[in-house]
Amino acid sequence: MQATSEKTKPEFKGKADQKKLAERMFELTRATARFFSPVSPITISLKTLAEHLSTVDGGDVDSAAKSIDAAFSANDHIFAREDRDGEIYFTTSGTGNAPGDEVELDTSHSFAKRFIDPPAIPKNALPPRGARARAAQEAVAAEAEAERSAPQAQHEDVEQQGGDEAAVEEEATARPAPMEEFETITNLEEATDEELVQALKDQLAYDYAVANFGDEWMAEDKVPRLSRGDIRRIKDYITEQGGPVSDHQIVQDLLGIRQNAQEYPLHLFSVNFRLSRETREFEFVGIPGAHFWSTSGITTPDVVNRKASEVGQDYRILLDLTDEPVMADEGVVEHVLTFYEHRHGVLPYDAAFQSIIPGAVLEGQRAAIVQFESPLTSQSFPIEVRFPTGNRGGFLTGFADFFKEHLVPGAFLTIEAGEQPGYYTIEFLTVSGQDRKLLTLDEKKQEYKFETRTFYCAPNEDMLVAENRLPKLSGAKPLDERTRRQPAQVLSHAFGYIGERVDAGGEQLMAVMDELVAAANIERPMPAELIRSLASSDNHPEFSIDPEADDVVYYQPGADTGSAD
Amino acid sequence: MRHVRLTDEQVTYLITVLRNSDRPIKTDDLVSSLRKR
Repeated sequence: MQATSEKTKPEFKGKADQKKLAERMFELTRATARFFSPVSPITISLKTLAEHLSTVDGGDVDSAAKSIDAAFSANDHIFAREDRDGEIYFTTSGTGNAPGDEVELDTSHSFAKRFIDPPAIPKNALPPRGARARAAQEAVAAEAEAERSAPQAQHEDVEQQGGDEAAVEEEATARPAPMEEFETITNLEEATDEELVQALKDQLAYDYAVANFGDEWMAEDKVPRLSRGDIRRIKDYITEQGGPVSDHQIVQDLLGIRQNAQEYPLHLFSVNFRLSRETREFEFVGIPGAHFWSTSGITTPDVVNRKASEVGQDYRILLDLTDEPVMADEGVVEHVLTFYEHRHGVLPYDAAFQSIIPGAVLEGQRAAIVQFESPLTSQSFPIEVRFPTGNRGGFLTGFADFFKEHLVPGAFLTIEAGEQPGYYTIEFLTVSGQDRKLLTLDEKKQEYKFETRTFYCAPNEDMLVAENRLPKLSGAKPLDERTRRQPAQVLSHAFGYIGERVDAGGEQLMAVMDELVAAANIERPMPAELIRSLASSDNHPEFSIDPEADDVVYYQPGADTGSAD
Repeated sequence: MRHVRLTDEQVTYLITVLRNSDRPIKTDDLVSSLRKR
């Protein structure tokens, strides 16, 4: 807010006494209009000024009027003289400008000017909301009209219609100029289905007239809307259930639509599409075929003994591995549990798991919740799939209790996709109880130790982290964060625990791949593919693979060039 | 994979197909509809 304003004083002309009188009368005139804006005209009669002057200074009014008239006339750049039926009036302004001599104010950026005349729309601006919808509506109407009027010439009309649509489209929207790397396709036979799907997603997904959720599309104005009350009820329902709720549950239980109703798929799409727009209140945590919704305040399975973001960074190595998934059978993943996975309750979202758990439905989707069932232990529990991001690898979390209760590091697991999307079965072989001294980490002391454990799951013997195999780890401290971030250094340490001397006098160590995987995965995720990649890399001459036996790896201490991973 | 771009006419056709449907349409069905046109 402007609290004060600086008053400008005009330059007065004429003789000294005229200057003085003109200035005095100007101040008087301005005082009569102190609440006017600086450029507003102020008009006062000569008679009023003369009467005031004669009252203050004495003398008669006529001589005062003559003096003022002469002084003002000498300053005609400040005072405009006007004779109204014999009575003289002078007009000036707060800034001392005679009418017709006003200062032109620059109002081109004033709020009023901007409000009335907004800036011109840039040539490459996005089309206005609804313009494309209107074009399509007109096209539909024109098509219907064409069908009514000339059904016999339908083919020709449709072709003409195409031209009309294009014309309407060009008028209705100002399309952004196509980017150079895009190739406009006129002949569809030249493009593959994959390319067309991508083009369709690129061009339709952001159109206000089009509703898209996952793999499905509709005209936006044909999708039923959810009221604020519906939204609130859905949120309350999810909170009541205490976990993510499927779109089917919402449509059936809350909207009261039967599964065999004709409009059921429409309402299913409506719930998914509308909730995907309510990003503040709802989070989509589904996968293709199993659409689940969560809301704030819902607890999700979490990582144990480590931050989820750190586990994501640990699994970053998965982003660089491009190996084909190794599958036991279609839809079945075989996996040997490592110490790292057992301790934190996680599994890698690697190529094998990606083949049975499909990726994100929505762009930027962070996670999904799937259900794991263990028929052997009659347990069912939710698992969170953290999808890979730019610099973090994906992983599955929420197994901590299950692993701790039934399995040991080195246990052999199979995970199978269920008949229903989003449901998986986790199984392990049971054997008669074994008592073994197995590695554990004292979380308080941060020290490795061996404790006797009785377990009933069948392990891969080479990957069991038992005392007889890794005695050097007893009393050892975990590697510091800096070291464990470097897979090559972790592998060197693993050789220190598990490696055997090749020659009695030499320093070269050797280890079988399974044992090495078990030892390296105590500290961080180190899949066999990563170890093979390190061992065959020219950057790490200290490691090598036996050319005759693929699963035997050698380590030459001191041959490390110090190159970073 | 090339980055291709549909013509305005093709996009308008797809929107017309969507407007004429009372149910959601799968991406593959939209593509085949575009090809059959």
